[in-house]
Amino acid sequence: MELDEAVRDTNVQMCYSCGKCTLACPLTHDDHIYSPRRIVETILAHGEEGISPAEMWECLTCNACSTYCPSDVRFPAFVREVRGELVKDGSYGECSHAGILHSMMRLMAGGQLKQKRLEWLDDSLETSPRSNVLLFVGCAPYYDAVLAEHGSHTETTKSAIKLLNSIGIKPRLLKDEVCCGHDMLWTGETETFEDLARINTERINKAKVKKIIFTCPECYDTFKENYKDLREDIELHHLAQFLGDRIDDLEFKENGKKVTFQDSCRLGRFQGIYEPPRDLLLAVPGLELVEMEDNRKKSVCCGTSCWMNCDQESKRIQVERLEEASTIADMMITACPKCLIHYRCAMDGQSKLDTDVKDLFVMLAESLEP
Amino acid sequence: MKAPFEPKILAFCCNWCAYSGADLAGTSRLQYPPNVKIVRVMCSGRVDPGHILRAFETGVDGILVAGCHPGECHYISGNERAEERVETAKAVAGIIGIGEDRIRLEWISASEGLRFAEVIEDFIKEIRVKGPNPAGGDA
Repeated sequence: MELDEAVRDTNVQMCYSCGKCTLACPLTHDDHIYSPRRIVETILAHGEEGISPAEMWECLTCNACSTYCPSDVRFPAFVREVRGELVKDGSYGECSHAGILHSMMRLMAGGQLKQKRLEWLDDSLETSPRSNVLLFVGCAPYYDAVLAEHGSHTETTKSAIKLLNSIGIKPRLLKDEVCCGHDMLWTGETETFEDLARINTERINKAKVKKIIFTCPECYDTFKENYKDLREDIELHHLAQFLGDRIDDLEFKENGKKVTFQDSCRLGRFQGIYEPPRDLLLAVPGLELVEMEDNRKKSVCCGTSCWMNCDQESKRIQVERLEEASTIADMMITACPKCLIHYRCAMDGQSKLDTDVKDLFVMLAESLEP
Repeated sequence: MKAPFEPKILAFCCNWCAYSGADLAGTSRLQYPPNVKIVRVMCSGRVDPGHILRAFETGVDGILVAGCHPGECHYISGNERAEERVETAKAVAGIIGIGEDRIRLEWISASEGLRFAEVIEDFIKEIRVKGPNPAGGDA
């Protein structure tokens, strides 16, 4: 295994054992310690022998550790590299939903399936096959099928189109896009990721668009950081950022709700987009935005990543966060479909949680002046 | 010369009804095509949409989930759960382009050996017309 290379590339050898990472890690609390410091020290001292696969799969890759690291150790990136090697040896994390979402990604990576991914489009939504602005739909239609109990996810895509329409943009949607590959990349299935990235890159490069807009922070981050062959003149925007720059063109009606915003790891700590979603919320007249104690770069992960290792720690993180949100606001707003799914899932059976979780774009589209 | 298409069918059969039905078909020496591989599960409700998609991933052409008749589930309501889960799997198979009609849910009791053989025969005929799993793979 190319452990030395992974150590060098991700700056792991620069760890000077201060332990800030362990304190920052959302998995660490009174009875459970997840210590990137100890993991790194053990691997530095014992090499491959020091790797504990269970710990490698447990990491949420939320980047809280690296945000606080004074020595710029990129622990999540290191975990990703090591997972790539573990997969080759047949080790894998515990898949949620019997691995159906992973299977879907692998099936899409074959590239020959003719998907019916735009069946949810209706006449009220204006799209144009000639537009040079592409809206990347992502996995929303699949989430609608697999995770229907946690609400409609194409609702977010529909809201995105409504918002774009309201500022005069008719986006283009691709019938044959495939999953961005984020989860394959972060679960170490590098080859599947490469296939997905190649298919999307070919189809998008051919589509001759100038901008791609994403509603999902994971798609946005993956395209931005890992799609090396995408035409360089294509601009990539997360919708929150795109709308944030055009705030004056948006007209919202009064909404007296008190809301709080959950920063997702890919949008926040990975891409540094903290203010645009807040600016958009504040543009809604009457809406009150209150902050949870841990916000922006200190935000807490939603407890699970890559549809993997969802366990009692995940639930603890989610319930604690929801409890905090419910004490200060009527509603928690997030701009990440996975945060939304995970928090909604955690709310099931927790009748004491008097709060609601909503997607930013759904909330904004509902507040649009008719 | 290219070999003619022989459908590969995976059948998830519940222990109490459908699997016993398959057993009866065997002990009664009923003939049905050999294209099917049977996986015994304790209850049809045990079959997760993830198992079905995973099977398609490996190149299976059609999937049968067979359980007890409604009201006769050994675990009272497992087959109702199977119905919901198969619906989810069909929805995903439809969107992804594999086709929802490559998944079939049937109720077969322990005494219905003949029905088991007929269901398998009919399903294989149907898949033969549809052709191979568009995702490829070699199960």
